[in-house]
Amino acid sequence: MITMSNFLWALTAIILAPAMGALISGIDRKLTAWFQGRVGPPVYQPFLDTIKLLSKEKNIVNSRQMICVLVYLLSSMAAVFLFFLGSDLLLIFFVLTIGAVSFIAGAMSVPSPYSQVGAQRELMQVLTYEPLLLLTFVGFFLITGSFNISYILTWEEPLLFSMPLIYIALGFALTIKLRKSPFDISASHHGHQEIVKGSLTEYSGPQLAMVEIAHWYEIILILGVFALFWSTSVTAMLIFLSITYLAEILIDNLVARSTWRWMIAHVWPVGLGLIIINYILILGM
Amino acid sequence: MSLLSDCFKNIIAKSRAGSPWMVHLDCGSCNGCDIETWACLTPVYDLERFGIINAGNPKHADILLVTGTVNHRNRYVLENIYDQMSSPKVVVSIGSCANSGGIFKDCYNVLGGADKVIPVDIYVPGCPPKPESIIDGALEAVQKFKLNQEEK
Amino acid sequence: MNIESLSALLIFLPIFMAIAGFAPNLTFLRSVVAGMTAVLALGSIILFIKGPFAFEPVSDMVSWHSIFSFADFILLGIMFIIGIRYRHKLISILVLAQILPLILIKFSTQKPHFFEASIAADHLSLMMVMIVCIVGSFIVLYATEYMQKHALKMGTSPLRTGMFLFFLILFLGAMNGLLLSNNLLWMFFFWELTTLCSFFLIAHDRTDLATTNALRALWMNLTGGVLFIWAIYLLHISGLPLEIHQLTKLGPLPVLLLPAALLCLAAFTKSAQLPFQSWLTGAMVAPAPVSALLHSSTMVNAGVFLILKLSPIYQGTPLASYLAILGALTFIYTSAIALTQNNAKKILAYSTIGSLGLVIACAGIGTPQAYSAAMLLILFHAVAKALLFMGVGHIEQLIKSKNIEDMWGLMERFPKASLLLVFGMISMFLPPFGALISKWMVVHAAAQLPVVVIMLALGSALTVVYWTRWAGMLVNSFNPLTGEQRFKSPLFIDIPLTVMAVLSLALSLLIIPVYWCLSVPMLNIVFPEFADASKSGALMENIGAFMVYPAFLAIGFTLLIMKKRRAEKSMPPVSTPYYSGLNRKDHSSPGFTDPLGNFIPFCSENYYLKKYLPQERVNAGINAVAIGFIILLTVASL
Ligand code: SF4
Repeated sequence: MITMSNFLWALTAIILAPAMGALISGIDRKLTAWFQGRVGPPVYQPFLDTIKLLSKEKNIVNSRQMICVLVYLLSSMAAVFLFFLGSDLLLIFFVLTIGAVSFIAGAMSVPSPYSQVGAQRELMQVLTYEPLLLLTFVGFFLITGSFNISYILTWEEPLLFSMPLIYIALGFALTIKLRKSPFDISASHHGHQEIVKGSLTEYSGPQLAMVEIAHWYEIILILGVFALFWSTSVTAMLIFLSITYLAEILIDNLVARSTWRWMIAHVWPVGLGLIIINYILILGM
Repeated sequence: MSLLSDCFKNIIAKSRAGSPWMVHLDCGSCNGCDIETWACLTPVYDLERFGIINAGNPKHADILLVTGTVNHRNRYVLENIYDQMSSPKVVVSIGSCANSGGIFKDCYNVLGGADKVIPVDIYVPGCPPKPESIIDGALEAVQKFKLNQEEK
Repeated sequence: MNIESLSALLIFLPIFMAIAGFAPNLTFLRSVVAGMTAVLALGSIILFIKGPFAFEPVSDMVSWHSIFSFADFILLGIMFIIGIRYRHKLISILVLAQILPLILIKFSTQKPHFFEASIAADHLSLMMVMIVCIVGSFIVLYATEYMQKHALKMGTSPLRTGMFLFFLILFLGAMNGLLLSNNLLWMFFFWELTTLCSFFLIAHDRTDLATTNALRALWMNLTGGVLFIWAIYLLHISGLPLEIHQLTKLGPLPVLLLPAALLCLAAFTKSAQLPFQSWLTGAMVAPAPVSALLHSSTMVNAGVFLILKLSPIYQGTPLASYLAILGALTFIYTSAIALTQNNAKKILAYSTIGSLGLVIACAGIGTPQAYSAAMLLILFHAVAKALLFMGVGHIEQLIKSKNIEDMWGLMERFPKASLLLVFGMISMFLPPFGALISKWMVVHAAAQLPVVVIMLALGSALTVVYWTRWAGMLVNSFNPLTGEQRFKSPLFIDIPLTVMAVLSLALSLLIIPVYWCLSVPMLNIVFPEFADASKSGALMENIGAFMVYPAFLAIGFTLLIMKKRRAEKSMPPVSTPYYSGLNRKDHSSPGFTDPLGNFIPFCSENYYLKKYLPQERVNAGINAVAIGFIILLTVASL
């Protein structure tokens, strides 16, 4: 049910989410540097980057890019908003799809080979993570009988115990969604530019900053989805989330980039297999 | 009001100086300078602690690092890359070749220095310059963002 | 106007107007068609407002039943002649297999059936009638323009073009008849009539390919006809009523299951579900109006219409679960194959089959939510697909290619047509448009059935990929022909396209009222126990459409900002794409200069994953699976 307090909560979330997301990615960079034996940038570096990008001159190839990137940002904002409103998980899923699609359309709208390659790979990434994400949400439904977040949050025991395998599958999906190694296929991460910047190649200045901000919203959303696995107490949830994200960073640093063929050929069978086994466990219980 | 806008300007200037992303263009270098430039990115020198990222894409970059003599074939590329960077942007020329043409100055195909084609802000001397001085040059260039801001 | 004459008007007006197709004068033809469009649209809306009805047409002079019997035999005779003419034995045999039970029924010694109401309609039928009348008429309007160009290209005589329009208009009447008849025997007549129209329309180009595909469509649909008539025969010999309303009132009786299964299979052929999908993809050789009218928005809906109508009969039986699985299987298969296609019409065809599969899956799931999802899906799909097929047909005439790879940067050359096309695609798979809202309801409803939901999840990811890819290449700003004048579409192509887009947008905006007017009354009838729930408004939570409005606002807001900014700046964007600094000097067209100084223009292609999804093998496998399920389904209903 939507109440005033819920609404305010969601509004707060939408304002604070980018800051949180930026902080998290700052910590991420610091940790990565630490893993590599470097000092690394300050934790507030992402803020500097984004403010700088926002203040730069606008430089686009065509106006469709701007529309696409704006829709991408709006849709991830909407997804975060709906999430903290305690709305329907499927709805959030579909709103996220808008963002993904418009991001790809933006990359495809430019006659640039790098951006095209990036867009095609991004498509494959969407193809890989979408079913896993959707089926995870169905997993929540199978246990709690509802897609409604506020209802799922009231569940008595941590859901992780009943859907551990789905948790792993979701981990795959979200690594792909966050474009972290080994699935940083579509927009090469810092340092290695085999396709320059993939789908991000043709964005610059404010547009790039918007992509970045949208990305922060996504980080928050994803952590939110993970939080559903352990929502019984706030401390436990925070610990659980930190462990999850640390694991994510660790994997990001440990493994090399894969190809999209490898990704589809391995993530689909493994992810779907895990989910199906978990479904059987749930239904059998 | 002016206080607010000053504050605003200040933040922007700080972030510009704190997050310069670079793109590196080899205009016919002997690779000596290139290797030293890349050395800056290694954990030993760790450019990223200054917020510098090798963006590898002019559209994302704020600093253009040029190495090599610049010749007739690649002057157009240099111009083009420079044009594709969105302002504010600075150019750092690395090594004697990029500064003036160096030992190749009198070759028939050589233009002799990046500043013949695009405006260069900082010259880093050496053949090749040490990574320390390259970093120093990049950071010196970054100060220009602050200066620009104050002038305005 | 009373209901009797109104429904007669909707059925017979197109049938008699069909002759106008031969009119040599284009202006005359168009005014007739436009007039008909207005009358039909108005008539169907009035009929809808008046609500459900049922009556038995009576007339002093003739008995309608004997007229239909005659007509049945004439129709089958024509098809028999076609079979002979093309030396297609299977067709002749199938026709004979229909004549036999028909004779048995007509001349049986059993006491004659008493028909309470041969013509009847509920909200489902009325909705479909509206689709046929409004969407269909606009497609006919489009056809008047399209066929002029087509005739020029193919060098067909005006007479044959006239024939084409004749069958196209005739079809509208046949379809209305099918939707409004409650008497299965009458429905059978119209069912076969649409098959026949479809055959002539597919064969219109008279190329070898067209003929082969038309014959394939004919025999597959005739198979459906055979199943249909035998189902009627079975009902007849067990002394059951032959009216759908009566049958559904009986509920899930064991004796009804076999006829219901046969009717569902007949519906499978009509809706080109697995394993009968090949006729629909073959039918894509037909001119665009045919694909738009028959093979996406109306005729193929006849199958799912029948399945939805029969849903009270098989609810809760194994038949329902098999339907759900087969529907979902069709959805995932077509989505995967559509990914490997680069032929625009084939992609649309597969997507059509997939959407119909989704509707059938809904019918199988059989909860109130699934049922309303099915209805909404039919509606939104019809409008969006009409738009897409007409748009693709138009583009095909302009660029003389169906290959989507030739459509890179179409937005630069034909801004409006491509914008409408992109809109059509988006409305197929993205929120906040209706088709997605209904898909969302499907997933909600299917969540209890993990098998189905897994297939849906995979399938829907695949659909996202092929639509995004296509839309993305249309919005690309690459224009191979610089200096070309911006193109303006002819009026009679522009109007139907725009109307469809507006209709789709308006319906999506009004999803809540649409839901209340269309689905809720229907749900109250099909699921009586649900009637109370709907009144309490508990449903609003489920449909969740309250979220649709903010999404729309956000999009509208974005567009407005863009527009304002564009107006403020009103200068073209200056930057060029990144080509490692090797762009052409004058920036006239994207591409780079190679070391020899040659200009290499931009070009890009999509992944089609053909290697991973070899069509023949996938087809063979999936057909085997589907046939297996159909055997199971039949066995289960024995
Ligand atoms: S300055 Fe020296 S090291 Fe650098 S490119 Fe020129 S010759 Fe090579």
